[in-house]
Amino acid sequence: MTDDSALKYSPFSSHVDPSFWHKLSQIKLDIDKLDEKVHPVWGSYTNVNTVGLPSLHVDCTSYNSKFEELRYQLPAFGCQLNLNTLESYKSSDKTILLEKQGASLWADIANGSVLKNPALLSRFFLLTFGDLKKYTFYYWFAFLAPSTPNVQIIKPPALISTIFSSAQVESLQSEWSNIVDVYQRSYFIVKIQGDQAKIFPLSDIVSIFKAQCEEQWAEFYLAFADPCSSGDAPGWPLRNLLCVLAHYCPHVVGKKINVLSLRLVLKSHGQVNAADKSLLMSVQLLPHNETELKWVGWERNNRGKFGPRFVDVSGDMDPKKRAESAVHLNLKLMKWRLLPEMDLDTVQNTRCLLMGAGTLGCTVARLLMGWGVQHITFVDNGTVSFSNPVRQSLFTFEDCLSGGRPKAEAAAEALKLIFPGVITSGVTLNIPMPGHPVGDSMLKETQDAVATLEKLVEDHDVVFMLTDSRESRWLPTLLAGAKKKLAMNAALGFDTYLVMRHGVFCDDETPPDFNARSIPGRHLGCYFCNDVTAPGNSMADRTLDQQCTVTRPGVSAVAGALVVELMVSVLQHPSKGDAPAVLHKSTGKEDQESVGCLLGTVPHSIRGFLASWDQLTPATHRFSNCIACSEKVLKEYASRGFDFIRDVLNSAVYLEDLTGLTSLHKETENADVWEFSDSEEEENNSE
Amino acid sequence: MGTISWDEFKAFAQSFLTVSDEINDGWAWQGDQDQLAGAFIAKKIKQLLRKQRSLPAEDETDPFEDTSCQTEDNHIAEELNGSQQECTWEYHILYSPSYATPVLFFNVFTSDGHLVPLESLWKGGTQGALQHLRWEALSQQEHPVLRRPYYYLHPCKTAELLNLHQGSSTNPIVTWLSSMGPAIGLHLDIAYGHLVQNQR
Ligand SMILES: [Zn+2]
Repeated sequence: MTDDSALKYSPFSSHVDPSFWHKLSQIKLDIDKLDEKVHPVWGSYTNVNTVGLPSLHVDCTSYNSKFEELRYQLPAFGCQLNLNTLESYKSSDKTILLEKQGASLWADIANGSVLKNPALLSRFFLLTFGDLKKYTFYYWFAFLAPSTPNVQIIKPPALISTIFSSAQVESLQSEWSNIVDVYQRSYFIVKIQGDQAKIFPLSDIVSIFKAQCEEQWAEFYLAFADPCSSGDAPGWPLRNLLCVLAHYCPHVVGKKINVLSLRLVLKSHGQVNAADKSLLMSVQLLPHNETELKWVGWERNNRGKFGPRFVDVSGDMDPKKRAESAVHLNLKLMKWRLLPEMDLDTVQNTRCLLMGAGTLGCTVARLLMGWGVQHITFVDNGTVSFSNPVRQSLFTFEDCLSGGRPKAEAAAEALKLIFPGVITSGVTLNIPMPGHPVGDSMLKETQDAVATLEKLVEDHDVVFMLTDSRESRWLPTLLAGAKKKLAMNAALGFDTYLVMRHGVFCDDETPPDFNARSIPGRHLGCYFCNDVTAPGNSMADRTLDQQCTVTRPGVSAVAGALVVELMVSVLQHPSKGDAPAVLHKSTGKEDQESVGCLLGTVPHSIRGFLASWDQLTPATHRFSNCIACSEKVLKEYASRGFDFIRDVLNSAVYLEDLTGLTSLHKETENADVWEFSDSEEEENNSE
Repeated sequence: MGTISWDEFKAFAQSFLTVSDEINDGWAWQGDQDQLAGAFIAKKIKQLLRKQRSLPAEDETDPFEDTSCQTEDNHIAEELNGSQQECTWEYHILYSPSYATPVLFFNVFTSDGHLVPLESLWKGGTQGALQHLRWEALSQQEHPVLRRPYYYLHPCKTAELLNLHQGSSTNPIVTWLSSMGPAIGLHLDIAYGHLVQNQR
């Protein structure tokens, strides 16, 4: 059967507008629900200015009751069957489905409907299954056509201009453009008379081709609007048109039929006739048996197989995914435009542990999310109180009711409401503190708390210390130091703040160079290095005044922002936690740049004073007698573990003895008190 | 200055459409013009791409292949463009009531209705112009009329730009689009030029 003279057609290729999936989902959810309904759907195609494969489009207007008439768009009548399950999709008999559609098209041909409304010949079937939770769709188009009659080419397709005069071509285009009824534009009959092309409706087919002798229809062309833009093969619609001819004028079988494929190129500055790309050809129908008509037209999928296509539009439709991609796009734009070298992945994959879910914790968590950080864990022992929501940006009035929700849990839940893509949890836990003795009754709980904290520090990359007391920072500082994690610290006074990064130690034994202009991260101190007192029970020692002191509301926002930005700068530095800090600001600009990262310098600490609006960035060495980060303390913890910690909890003096601080203890007054609180509950350890 | 009212926008858009219709450029109204900023003008351009890895990967296995459907059909012409992937660029010009300027929304999608992430277009270099796009002005947002995600060029710089051309421009939509459009592959035909020059 496959000889060169057999007429072949360019098949349609399906084009689905994103809006079609939106509309289909909406109809399934709101209207169809569990019904497996057949919907009439509109498709559209064009023979004007086409590019690429001849395509048939569906979009959200496909479900309209009336065809959406857009310039040069031709209607196609479709039927969509949307199945409920993948199983019914797989098991449905595609051949029977197609035969059923074919029978309906055949009825329209046989009862004359297509003569009144030729557009009925452009027919498709669409089988879909949508997983609306995953936003994925299986879909399969069939562009219905009868398998016969077979058609032989008598005169191969030739450009219209080689046969028609340019006046005739021009006349053809303007005649066609004057067809008012869009349903008459796809299939028609053309007759050439002198310089004119005359267009007859398809309903004249019987009268035109009734003659027994082919000479009598030699000036007539069976014509169709061809969605195919290039090549010799006429488009798919011709197939159904020839079948109509065979049905109504069976005596033409074996005789010569002229065919016109109308292809238009409308360009603003075109010198040529718009219809110049149209084709003319002559063909001959072979006999066929209408009662044995088979239907074809299933579209091949992207791999050239007869099977459904699959599309995952979750990125476009799933609100959670849309939020994620929008957040990441914002950051990527910053990277592309301003900082092409920026390493966003490192920031986003950094797992952050927040000690404290108060004003600082809330601010820090929000800003981390702003940087795209995906993994945030809160540790806090408090509950949300009525004074909190106005200052602590993750809480609302509701969280305060019935005694208040645990802060860590409420903060984690709030993060998920803000951005569902975040991986977050809250751990309610008392951070054991030096000088807060552990009685026998509390031993088990304290042991568990230490074990939990050890595990948490192990499982995260950065530990943020955002609690409101100095003592509560001791254990996290020790654990971060021991596990070589980056520790970030923020502490507030009434109108002052301290933000710092702790040194990240390595096993390098090289002694620090105290004359260098900068300090590498490994030699930087911790929060306790500058203090010469061991943390005692400062809460007990505080005057009432100090316990109730509030900070200026903006201070926590400033400090919270700085501590996050400082972390990002550390992570952008090639040496990460070992990034050097410039010792003195007076050092030349070049020095600062040579040790900085692409975002600028990476200071050790930032001290700010709102009263004078000053900010300093001092850097200090690790103190060899430090009660939290010195070698002695780390070694003791490494060898004795919880026993060591218990000794510290039971007696603050123990640390001073261990580190040799005792002798220094009484000699110095600590002028700087950074442990102000803005929370009125003593047991509430977040700032 | 450099701002326009909704009624002015509609009038400018209408004269823009008149030129589009004359040269068959394909722009058309969508939406409800009686509602403030409820309508926009739209155009689609189909583009052929060479198949790329960055575009949605095809299924490797095909458990659904149905050979029973393969009724002997030897009337199918071979595809001429089989190795090419088609993309549709969709451009919408809306009115921004808050900036009182035109604003451009756009999307790119493949023939299965899947939006192409900008990044992969950018990487693929399929639209060379994308590379000198003013990134600061680009973002993704829900389309104010269609309520679906679109990329858009933020109008924060538009009034400024229009102000610069004030006096020389009689149709700010043309002035603005000829400046912003090329960055996302939208090149205006010279026929629109007379809309901004005919006052001279
Ligand atoms: Zn220290």
